[in-house]
Amino acid sequence: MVYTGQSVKRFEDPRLLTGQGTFLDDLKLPGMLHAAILRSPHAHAHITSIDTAAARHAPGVVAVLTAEDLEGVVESIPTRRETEAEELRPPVHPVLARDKVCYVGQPIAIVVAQDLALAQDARALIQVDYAPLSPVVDPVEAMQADAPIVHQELGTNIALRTLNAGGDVEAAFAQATHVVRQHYQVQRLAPAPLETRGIVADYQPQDDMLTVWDSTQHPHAIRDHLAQVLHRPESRLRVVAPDVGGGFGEKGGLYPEEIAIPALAMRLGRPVKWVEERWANLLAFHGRGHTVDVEAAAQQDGTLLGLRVQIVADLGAYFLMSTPTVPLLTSHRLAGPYKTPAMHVEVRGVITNKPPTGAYRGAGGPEAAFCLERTIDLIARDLQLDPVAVRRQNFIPPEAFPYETPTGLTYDSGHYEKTLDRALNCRSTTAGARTRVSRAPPGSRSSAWVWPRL
Amino acid sequence: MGLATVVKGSGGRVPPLTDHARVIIEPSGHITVHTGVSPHGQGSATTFAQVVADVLGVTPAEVQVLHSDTALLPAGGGTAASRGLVAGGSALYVVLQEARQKLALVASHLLDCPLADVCFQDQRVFPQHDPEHHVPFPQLARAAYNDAQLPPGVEPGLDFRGSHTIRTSPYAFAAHVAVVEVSQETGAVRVLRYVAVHDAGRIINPLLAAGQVHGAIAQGVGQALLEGMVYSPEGQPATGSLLDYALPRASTTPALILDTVETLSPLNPLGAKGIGELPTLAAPVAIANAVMDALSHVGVRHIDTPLTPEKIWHALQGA
Repeated sequence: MVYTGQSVKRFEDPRLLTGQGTFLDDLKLPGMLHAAILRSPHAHAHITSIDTAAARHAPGVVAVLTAEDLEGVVESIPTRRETEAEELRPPVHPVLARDKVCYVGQPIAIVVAQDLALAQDARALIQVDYAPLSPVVDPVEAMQADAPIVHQELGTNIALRTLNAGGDVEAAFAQATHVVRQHYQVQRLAPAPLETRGIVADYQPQDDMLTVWDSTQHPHAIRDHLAQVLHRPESRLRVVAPDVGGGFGEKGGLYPEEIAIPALAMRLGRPVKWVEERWANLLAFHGRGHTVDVEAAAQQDGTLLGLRVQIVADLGAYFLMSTPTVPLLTSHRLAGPYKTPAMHVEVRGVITNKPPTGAYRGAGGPEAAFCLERTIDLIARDLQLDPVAVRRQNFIPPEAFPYETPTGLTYDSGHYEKTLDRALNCRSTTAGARTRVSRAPPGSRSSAWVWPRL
Repeated sequence: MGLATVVKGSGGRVPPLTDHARVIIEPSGHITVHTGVSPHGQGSATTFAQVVADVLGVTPAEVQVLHSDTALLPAGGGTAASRGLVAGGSALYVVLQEARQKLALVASHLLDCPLADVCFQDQRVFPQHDPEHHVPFPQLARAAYNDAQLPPGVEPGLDFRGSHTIRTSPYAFAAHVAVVEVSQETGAVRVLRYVAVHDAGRIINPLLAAGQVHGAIAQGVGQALLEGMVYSPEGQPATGSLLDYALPRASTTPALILDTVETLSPLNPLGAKGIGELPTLAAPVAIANAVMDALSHVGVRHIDTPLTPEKIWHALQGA
């Protein structure tokens, strides 16, 4: 093999570095209209009235769309049917809010105008009356009996529940000489891609062809979902992802705008562009949002015997495609690189008055790794062991592959100690540690981490 | 100092991992690949061209990789969950074997040598034991479109398509070590040194693999020290703009010391494992472990991320 293993420079770069890239907002079609979206300023409220009359008559406005206009035209937003969940209650996720808003940023109405500034000006003229409701913000409080229920039809805020277990956890804790207990919060993160989300939709009636340019990671999946929610055959739908300026999982689902903008283009017979404003991007979708309680059973030498874990996932107000998936993945991925024989992981996914969550950069992996790797360090600390030695002690050895974890994953291959040794042996690693200790400026506190003998 | 050792599978949730590819070799010898993955910064057009080049003995620059258009291919899995090379690259590799097989048939006829002796190298095909007796790749491609130059029973044309399914997910491993300094006066954390070694199976392009690692560690620093959506008890976002939501920046990204180990995956023909997300598992907690190690002397057991100067300063005051 001549080229495998070579650092060939990206063929993509000359075009991008010379400004020849075509990102979503670079697309311009003849007769193209521009959309601005009115979003909820309330976390939880009834909508008592929407008056769009002034906006409709504003200069340059072509249409104002509310939930009423989509009735019978489009389906609600799809989510993944996670069959492994013991309980799964996805709330109905409307494209535009009708009677109720459930998070700050939820789309309510869309103004389409000759240019973006006119659309934004008209948006400010829409009158919405709200009757605010008590919000649920903290997922643990949302599970309490007296908490307001976000979606009355569910009868509860707990929309996902499952148990992922393997091995004899009771026996593990009975045998343990040391138990570590720790509560962790893995915070909500905004993916914040450099390019926000965006859509251009164009309908050609003579061919009955709908073309959608979408800043997405999954053009084929978007086409398949749009075929369902817009009631069209796949052959009459083409989805193109132009240059995409970052996705990070956020551009992996089907959002309200991805349904509404194509529906508008078909209704108006003209191309429509929508590009997400930065503030709206920060309020559309988040990753992480896990509250985790870990109990680890260990022997005096640091051997992990078992893990008992409770995950409370802050799902947000609705389910997008990967919303129920992430906490399930966290439960699987808590096994990490260790041969822990017994695990018992309970998952509860909770509805709150915050934006929907889903896959972001590792999707359950970083949530699991944070809790597991902090716990390993706490075991080492409590038992006065070297954190490196505790990891070595518990690694799945190379000869154990394929290895099945108590959480149901099968690992194919690996040489964990060899890789760890490479990291620890790196001259620069050790040099770094010594530099830090010797050059620590006055006032900074150095730790007495003992560099392991290899 | 803090350590994290992590594993991450390639592909979304539950396998199988399926993707699709089409390889078109034009009479001029130029090669066009359509892939069902949808790269958006990963550089798959380059890595996939390298895979093509090695299977067909051409140069990567002769290969055009097209993607992200449903009019090109009937199906595709997109790019997410560290699946690009594992799923898309494997499908491409499998379809390339068909292309190579047909080209070898045509070549054995042209060169009058046994099929098994046909070699593809340096934009030429030749019999293994007689490299001087070679045919340039474009001439081979043109012959494959000319009925008169084809062996009996072989149809003209070089258009290959198919899919490939991987039944279980390959798992990659990483070990990260962070060295940090915590200011006692302000609670500010500075990452002084960062070492990360990844075992993601076969690395097709070390430069692009390192690029994936850089981006993921930058975001891991964000999770560890900077980022977090904050909501008021009324459900109002306190971090609804980039003035309030602290994204990682070049200045918060440490210089990285990187290395790789290659334990091949037996699950796909490239031996590859996804690398994109692997560092996002390790970086936040390697840094958090380092900060907790630095604070352990004052009795701090755990602080949740983001480890802002405010939180650390309060912990130091309480100690």
